[in-house]
Amino acid sequence: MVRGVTNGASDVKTASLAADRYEVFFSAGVATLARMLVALQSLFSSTRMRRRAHLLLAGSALVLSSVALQADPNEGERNFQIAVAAGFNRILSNDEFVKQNAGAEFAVISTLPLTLWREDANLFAVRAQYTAFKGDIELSKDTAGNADKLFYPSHSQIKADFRQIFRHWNIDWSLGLGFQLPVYDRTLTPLGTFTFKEASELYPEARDTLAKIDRSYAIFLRLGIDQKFLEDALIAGLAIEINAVEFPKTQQRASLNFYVGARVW
Amino acid sequence: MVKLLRILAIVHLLTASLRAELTVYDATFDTSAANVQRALNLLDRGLGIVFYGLASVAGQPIVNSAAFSSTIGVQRQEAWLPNFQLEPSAAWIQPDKIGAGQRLNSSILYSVNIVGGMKLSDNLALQVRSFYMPEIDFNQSGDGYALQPFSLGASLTRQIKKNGDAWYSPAITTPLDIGYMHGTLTASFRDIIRNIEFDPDGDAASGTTARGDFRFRDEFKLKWDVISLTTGLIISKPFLWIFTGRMGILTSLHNGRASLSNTVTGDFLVTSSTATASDTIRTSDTATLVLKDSASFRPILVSNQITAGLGLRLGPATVNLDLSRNLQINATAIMVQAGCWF
Repeated sequence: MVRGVTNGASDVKTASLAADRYEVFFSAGVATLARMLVALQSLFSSTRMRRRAHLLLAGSALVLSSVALQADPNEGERNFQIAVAAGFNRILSNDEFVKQNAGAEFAVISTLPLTLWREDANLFAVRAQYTAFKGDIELSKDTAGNADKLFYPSHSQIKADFRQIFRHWNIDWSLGLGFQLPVYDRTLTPLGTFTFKEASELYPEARDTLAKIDRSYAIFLRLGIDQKFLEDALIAGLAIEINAVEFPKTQQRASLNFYVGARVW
Repeated sequence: MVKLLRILAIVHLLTASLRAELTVYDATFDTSAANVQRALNLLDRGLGIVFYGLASVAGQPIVNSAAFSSTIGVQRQEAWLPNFQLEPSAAWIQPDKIGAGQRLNSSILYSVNIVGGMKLSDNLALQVRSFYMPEIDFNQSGDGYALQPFSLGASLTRQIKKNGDAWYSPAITTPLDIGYMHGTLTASFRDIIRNIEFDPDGDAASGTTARGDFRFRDEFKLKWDVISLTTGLIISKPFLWIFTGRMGILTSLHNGRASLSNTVTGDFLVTSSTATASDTIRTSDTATLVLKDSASFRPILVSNQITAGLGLRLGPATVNLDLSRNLQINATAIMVQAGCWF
């Protein structure tokens, strides 16, 4: 009897400590996000982009605040799983040059052992992406009728995002928010291999086309499905990603993503 | 004017990515004169630009193929994990045909390797492969070409699902592979460039022109190192007692480093010159020139491979034919493998 009372008090104490930890965690998360976005928006030159950054900041703070209020420490038990995945990525665009592209990605996806809101599961993904554009950038012909071409423009980037999973009709619908950091860009020119910036200086005529596919920083929203199979051994996903904020602005606003992966942990 | 700006931009960019050094020996003219130094600097930069263009156009296809090559063999899986596997193989990378005016994005490359594997637990196996190509050396009339790559790789292969009875219930395996590839390519040749036009007094003004012939020997060396991480899914299904079919999707993350160096050693003979001043380059002047260039690239690539294969199995003996299509560099690898897997 005495032992039972002790256990009950201990449970209450543990739950209280867990709730404190959640509160600290979310307060720190909101503060960090706010600092990141304030720092990021200083990069934006246009008022329109700044306004978008403010809206995103306000929206994110609202969502995270409500998450913090509703986080239930008693439902915090989740398995920690890690999967590696092979993925395909395609940039969606109306532009004739931009839409001819093929992207590949290498992803590490992790479930988080936390319940943040009313979601059925959540995922955190870090992805290395590479996109190659299939078209050549043909420049105007010289007096002899010959034209220079720029070949194989490509860029790579790191993407990280957090996804909330909601299960309806046995399908795991996913809603995510993430950011993109550019890593590498190159194009082949008759003078050798150069970055987009260098190639634009060498061939000013190609500047506009290269600007459409330039490397960029972005904050994106992700909508799709992340479904596990075979007792969590396999995961596959299909989603559309839309850049809410992008710097510099390019023609790569939306992309389609497909991946399959296997659990390794 | 636009042309001049472009040349200035190239020179500016190349100073960051390229190192060039021109040395002149046994010249019959005064190489310390400021105007001659200007002429030599122009020659140095011009040859540096030509080298960088050639080297990066040649280097990228080779590094792309090397990155692809280091993943060949990962797709070779059966419907069950091996208690023991020992399979030598030969592979060939075939780039796509390219349209007129386009440059090659990948290079033909072949490999010979051996794969060894063993089961670690019910659903986990370790597979190790090594790739080595003896140095191929072509020499003819003093010209030479040599290529030598080697690679090492290790896969932790996990069986996610065992093979079922129904045709739609194949075995599913996932490899987690790390591969390393190193290679060198050297080429040396002799040539003569005739009637090189240059400014003999280095002031770039019109009116004074000179011509010369340059007999030289060129030694070009490309070295590359690529580390690749590969994962994906491979489905395998035995059928008709002795056959196994497989298909897969793989993705590789390649982190590469390539360095190029070029040394040109040659004799320059001035065949005509309108310059008459004492500190200019005149007809019949000669000099020995040594031009050394170097450049490096650090490509970061991610590529998708779609794979398909067919295996024939008689007891532990196996023969396999696999195709792997790289979607980013437009090339296909064809691999034949024979050995034992039981």
